[in-house]
Amino acid sequence: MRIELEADPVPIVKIIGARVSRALTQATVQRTVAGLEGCFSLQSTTDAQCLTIHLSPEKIYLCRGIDKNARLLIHLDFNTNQPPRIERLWRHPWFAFRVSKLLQPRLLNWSVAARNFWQMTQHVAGMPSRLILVCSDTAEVLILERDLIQQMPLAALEEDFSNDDASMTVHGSALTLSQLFSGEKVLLESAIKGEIKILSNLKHAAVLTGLTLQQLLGELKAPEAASTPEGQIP
Amino acid sequence: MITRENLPDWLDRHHVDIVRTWGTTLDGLGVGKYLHRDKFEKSLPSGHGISDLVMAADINGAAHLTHWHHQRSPNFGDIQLRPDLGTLISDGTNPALGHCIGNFTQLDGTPLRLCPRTLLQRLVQEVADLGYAIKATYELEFFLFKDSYADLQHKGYQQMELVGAGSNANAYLIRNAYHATEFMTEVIKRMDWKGLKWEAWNDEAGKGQIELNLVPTDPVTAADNVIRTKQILYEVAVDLQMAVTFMAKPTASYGSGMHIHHSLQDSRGQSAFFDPAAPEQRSTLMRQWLGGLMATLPAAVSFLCPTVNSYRRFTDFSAVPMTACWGEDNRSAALRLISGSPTLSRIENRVGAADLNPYLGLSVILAGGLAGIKNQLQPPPEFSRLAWGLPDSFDKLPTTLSQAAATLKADTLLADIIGEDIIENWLHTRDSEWLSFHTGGGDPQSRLVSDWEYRRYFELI
Repeated sequence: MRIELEADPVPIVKIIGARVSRALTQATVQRTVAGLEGCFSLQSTTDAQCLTIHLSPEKIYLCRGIDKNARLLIHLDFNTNQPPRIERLWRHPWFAFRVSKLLQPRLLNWSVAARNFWQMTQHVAGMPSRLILVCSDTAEVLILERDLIQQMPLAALEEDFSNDDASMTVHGSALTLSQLFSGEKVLLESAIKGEIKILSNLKHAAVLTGLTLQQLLGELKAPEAASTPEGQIP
Repeated sequence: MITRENLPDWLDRHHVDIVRTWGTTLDGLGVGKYLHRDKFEKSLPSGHGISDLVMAADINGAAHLTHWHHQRSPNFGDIQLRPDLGTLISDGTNPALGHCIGNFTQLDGTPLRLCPRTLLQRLVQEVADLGYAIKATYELEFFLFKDSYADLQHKGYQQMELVGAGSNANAYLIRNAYHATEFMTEVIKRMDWKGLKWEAWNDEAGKGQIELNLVPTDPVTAADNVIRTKQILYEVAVDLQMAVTFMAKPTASYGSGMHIHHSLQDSRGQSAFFDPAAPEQRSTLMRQWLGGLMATLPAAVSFLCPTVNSYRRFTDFSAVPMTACWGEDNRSAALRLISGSPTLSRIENRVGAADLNPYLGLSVILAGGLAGIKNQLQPPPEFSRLAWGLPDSFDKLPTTLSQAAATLKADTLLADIIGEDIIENWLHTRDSEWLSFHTGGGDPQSRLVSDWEYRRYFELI
């Protein structure tokens, strides 16, 4: 199914468009929304951002604004995971259930998400030559280098990279790391919120922040040969 | 001319004990320090240190942390603000104070490519290398309010009281202008004390809107004069418990532009745009220069209209160019030519918003002209009719910050002259401005100026 954004899209249209696009990589979601027609709108509870998603057999079209013919009007805080308030849910419960799948793409396992992200970005100017991810839930470390990828228990890590200026280290939970490398979070924003800890110079942090932002906005393009294996959060 | 050698004498004669240094950020904000004269003298020639954040932060002071430029300090370290002693002046109002404009450099003295003043100097030199000098000037438009900045903040920028007679707006009204006379008299007094040459001021189309014209001079001095004049306007407003703003569209009335005039002279000081033997008396140089300006105009909009608020000006029949076209003495065109005169031949770019950075605005114009010469470009046919309200089949200029950024990103002519790294860095800053607006409370669907815009731009821009 084709996804189309309005001309000169606003950020929330790009962000939700990217999320819908990720959801549609799953065959189950494609089947769930196949044949759906109509539209629903989302409105931020914290600012003026809003958009409408139009569904038709040929395409999903996203544009700014609230459509007065929307079957559902979903009020939510785009920055948190608080449960949304949904208007007209009782009239369209089945529609709501099915379209909700578009907004909640299944997250990849943190390690898989990070490997995919690394494959897309490792050659970008300003990237560290080594990205080290430490998962606090599994006590594992993933070391991503240009020609070598290693995953091991943290306890088995012998080398000390703390003074290596070519390296960047990110510590976080499995969920946060998965979100970070799947286009759901932006690096330094997560660091400022305390969701992750980083050991990096400013250049690497800025470049990686820009790339995670690009992914959030759906602007990060995968190399042609890149695959997107699915996985589950542990 | 002031040099390091005669500086102590100059400071003594002008009783200057403190020097306020001034560098200009990408958004056109003035940054610097008040230096004791001893410190100022000792800092020469390299200047004093200042955090590299001044060149890597937005108007609100938030660091740009989504991209990297190769000249940035590794971890929020220092760059330098190198004073240009040719700009040192005494304040006039404060007898102990002097002012000096500078350029940003790296700690080893390497010019910072992103520094707006440095970029303009580089492009002026490129034109000089071709054998031409440039004269330029700006028209400053701004709104004047009876309220103080503090009052306006307290009122949430609602029910703002504009200076002027009655409620009807018209341009050049002497009765409207009279209400601004006390304010402008003080402004002009301070400009005269500082040696800033002006030609005229008048009531403009919007109520409370004033236009101030500066005397043409070399491009860097012309841009220096703009930032100095804007600072004087701000200081007088503060001192008189009033407010002035360079927001492009602070009210529902007309917007404020910053039209930029420029002309080229040859080595004999004669107009290089004028050729009595050429068609329309427009020289080959002028045609190629114009060809470059036209070819780069849509991409240049990003620099000429740098904020979300800049684009609120873009409505038909509001004296703002909407179409990429040029015309002889055509005020509805984006580029207004005055040709056929050995002394007055010039080009006026009417796209610029009042909130533009004067160094970058003129830089992008010179880069367009240079691209025209380098590629021997020819302009499209003249547009001799009204250029407002045209059908969509005409080449419209970008009307949003994001459209303008996308247009600049697709352009290669400006990047070739200005430098890809500078363009790329600028684009990241505009993306950041765009994101901040949308995620910070701005409403793209509202025709009203948002609280976010007032809080961000009103006093600082």
